[in-house]
Amino acid sequence: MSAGAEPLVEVRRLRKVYALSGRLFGRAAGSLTAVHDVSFAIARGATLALVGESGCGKTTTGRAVLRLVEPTTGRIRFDGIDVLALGPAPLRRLRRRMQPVFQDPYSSLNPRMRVGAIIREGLVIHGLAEGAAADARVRELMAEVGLRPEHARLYPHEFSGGQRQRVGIARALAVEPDFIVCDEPVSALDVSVQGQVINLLLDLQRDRGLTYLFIAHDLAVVAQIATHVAVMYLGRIVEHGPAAAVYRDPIMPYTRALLSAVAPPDPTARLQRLALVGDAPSPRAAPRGCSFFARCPHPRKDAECTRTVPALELKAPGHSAACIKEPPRAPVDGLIPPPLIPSVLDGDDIHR
Amino acid sequence: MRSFVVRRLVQAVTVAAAVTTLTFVLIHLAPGDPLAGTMDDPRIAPSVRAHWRQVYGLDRPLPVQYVRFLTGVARGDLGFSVSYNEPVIAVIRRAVPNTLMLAGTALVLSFAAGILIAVIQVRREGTLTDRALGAISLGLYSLPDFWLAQVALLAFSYWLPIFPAGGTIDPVIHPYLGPAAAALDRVRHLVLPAVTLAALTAAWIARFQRAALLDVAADDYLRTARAKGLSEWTILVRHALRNALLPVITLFGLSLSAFVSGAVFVEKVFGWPGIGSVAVDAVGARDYPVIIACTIIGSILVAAGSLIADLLYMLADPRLRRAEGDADGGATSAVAGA
Repeated sequence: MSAGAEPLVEVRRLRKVYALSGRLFGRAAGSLTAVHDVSFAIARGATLALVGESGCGKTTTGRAVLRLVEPTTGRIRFDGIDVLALGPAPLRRLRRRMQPVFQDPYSSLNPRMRVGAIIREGLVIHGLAEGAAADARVRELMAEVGLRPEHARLYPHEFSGGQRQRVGIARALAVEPDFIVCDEPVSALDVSVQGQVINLLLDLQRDRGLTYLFIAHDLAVVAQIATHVAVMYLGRIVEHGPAAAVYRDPIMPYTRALLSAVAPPDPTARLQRLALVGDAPSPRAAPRGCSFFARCPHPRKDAECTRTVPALELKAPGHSAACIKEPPRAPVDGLIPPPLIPSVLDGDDIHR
Repeated sequence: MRSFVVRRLVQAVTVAAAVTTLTFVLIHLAPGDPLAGTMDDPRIAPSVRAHWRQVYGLDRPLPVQYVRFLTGVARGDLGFSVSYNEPVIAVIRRAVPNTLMLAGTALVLSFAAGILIAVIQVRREGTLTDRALGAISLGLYSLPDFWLAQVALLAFSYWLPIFPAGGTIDPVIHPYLGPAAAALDRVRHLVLPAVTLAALTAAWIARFQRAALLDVAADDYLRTARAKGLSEWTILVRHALRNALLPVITLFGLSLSAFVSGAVFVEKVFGWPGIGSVAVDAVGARDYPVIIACTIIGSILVAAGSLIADLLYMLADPRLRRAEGDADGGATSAVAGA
């Protein structure tokens, strides 16, 4: 994981526009830009956390990276392969190397299949194992994620939420991927189980050198696992940097608000919450200028903010933010690591 | 599981009894009786008429006739058919295998075709193929079966004489055919009535199956399947169809009643000597015991259908197997449409 090594995953100006269907027989009544020119890269073995409120486009981004939804425009490179240029058959082969773990461990497992069959299917499809060897591999995988191998004969509904998420992880691991998109893998779980699953993901990353794109709405969960953090707001990345820098010195007022919502482990500590006013605007009617303007508590915000869409700019080494009112800051001390990867590939504003 | 089956059997018997009583009352409310056609002739002396009405017990008050009928049924005696001049049970025994053959073939055909059409439609969703198949199935679904039967007869055994016009076998040459040729003869006779009977149900099933498939199309586990690298066909058949089959199993129970009532017309048109033909002739002849026997057979078939559907439900959905005790599956309710 040396600086300058080619990243495993590289996403450039990813955009996903949904046409809003109009009335009966009507033409598209408009469009919704769920993901707006998102760019990032993830080094091998690193974990980029994509955080933001629900509806900010983080899940769509994660699915688009795996081509589970087709991006409208943009480029995705996976280990040097142009993912968006692949036809159906090569794409299916590439899927072996990049896997998702979904948010909902209830709906993401086929209710009519035994978990052994769910885990096994990928193995067989990609020709990794067959027959008794595949069964043995299923048992190994189940043991690896902390499930009892003899439970391979059970159906998903016979497991608890945490166990089901372990099945989901074993299923993803079965095809020996290099890259896993974890889409809020613990959001549906109890807090105590969340920790166990996060630890499992960390162990697997250490043992197998996995690369993660970890999607979450909760910065507390992310703190344990992320090497880098990207904060999304209304379809755009508004802050991006090494996890340590983002946590210690958040630049965007939005990131500060998110961080202030993290409950401290000490229950007696007073929570200094920086509450935001109002809701995120609908991406159907995105405001002009800075999309965060209406809720922004920044003391220097003014009319200028409503005129320009702020571009992501480097404000500190490896740490960029999209705010025209925040000046670049000198490195606070030598503790902020140099960037492992360029945080933004294109700084230019292509907003029409 | 056993208690569930027992409970459903009790339910089925109750339904059959209710349907029988209702039919008994209804046919006696209608004017005429089994002897009306032959006996109500001014040349026959009233004393002769009275004598024969007395022989068949038709002079008794209705409640007495009903009790006599019920005690007969309880002993396995369905009565004596005036129009066939033989015990009702013999008439039924001859007709039931023919109906089972026809309805069974139509059942298999309609489910196979309906599900296949739906899978093709969903795979090609939004395309011309999808819309054309949708229009055809809606059209078929809207047609009356007796009309379709007559048109099929006209088209494929008169204008284009590919298939025989009626019966289950060719009465002239069948006795001289070898086993293979004899089987082929039966199949040739079966094609038109079975396809006609299946067509409407197939259209109905296709519409349900398509909706059910589209219903699960957005489910997360299909995204999981896609992420595994499965082909779209495999995802559709192995993952989506397996989950979308459940609502269609419900149709299985309902379709049996459709086949039973559909068979009445289709059998008549194709001269197929099954329960349907027998029922139509019996109504014409006011042959009460035969009508009632047909009704009982019909309601048994329908009740059996919904019981089988519920059992299939359990087989198809592992989540129901453990929860066998509670609720009645609720899949289908057995009401004969006869």
